[in-house]
Amino acid sequence: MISTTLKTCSILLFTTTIIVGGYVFYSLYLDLSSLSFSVSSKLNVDASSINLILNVTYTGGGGLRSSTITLTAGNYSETRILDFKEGSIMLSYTIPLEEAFSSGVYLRLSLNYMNIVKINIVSPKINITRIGY
Amino acid sequence: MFSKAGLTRKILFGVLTGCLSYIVYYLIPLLAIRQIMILPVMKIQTVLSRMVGMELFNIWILLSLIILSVVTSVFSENIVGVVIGASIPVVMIVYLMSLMNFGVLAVEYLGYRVDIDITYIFILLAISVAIWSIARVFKYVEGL
Repeated sequence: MISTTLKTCSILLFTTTIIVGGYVFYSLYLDLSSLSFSVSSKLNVDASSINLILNVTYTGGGGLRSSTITLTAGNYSETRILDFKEGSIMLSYTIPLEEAFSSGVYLRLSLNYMNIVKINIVSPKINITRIGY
Repeated sequence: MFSKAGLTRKILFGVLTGCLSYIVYYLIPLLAIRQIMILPVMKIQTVLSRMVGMELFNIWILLSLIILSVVTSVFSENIVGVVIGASIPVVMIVYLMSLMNFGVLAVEYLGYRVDIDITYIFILLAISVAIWSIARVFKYVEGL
């Protein structure tokens, strides 16, 4: 009796997981196919910091929730939330010069799909070099 | 111990289960990884990447799985068969999870690194397999 109940529970859980997983991946595929980003940037340098302004425009991604974009340079890290209903966001990062020179800069895009699948996309590291010192 | 027909049925069932295990645990992961690795510049940082060069038909893996399944099927009413039968799914799900870096698939493409985290789905699958194994042990205990 216990074994039959356990087997039924196991089959139900397995089947549900496969169906839900399949649905999530199919929806994710549709959403990611329609998702497109375009980034334009502006850089200002002063005596102690670099001010990086990113204008990110995006379309699609209706099912994506609590997605964030993070800029990291050494110990400096700042995260902003992307709202896919807005369509665009202006991001302004003020990076201390030493952090930018010593460790390079990279962007991380974190996408959260239905709290089940999480995707992190990390850009290649952009090395900033001092010239004339 | 067994009638000839009963033994043949158990062996056939074991062979069939072994072939099915080969498809589920070897063929599908191998085909999936080959699909993902369409682009030659793409690198996958999992144990799965070691499987890319393996042949679709691997007689040794197929034979091992068939022998294990036949032993499990023939000794299904014996403690040996119950222990092997209950352990195989657990071992296989751990093996599948290790192939996928325990739910986090990391792909590198043109300097971009993409991490896909499907840990929750893996945990649910592992739980369902564990419940199935416990059910097999209970079935044996109930039959004593």
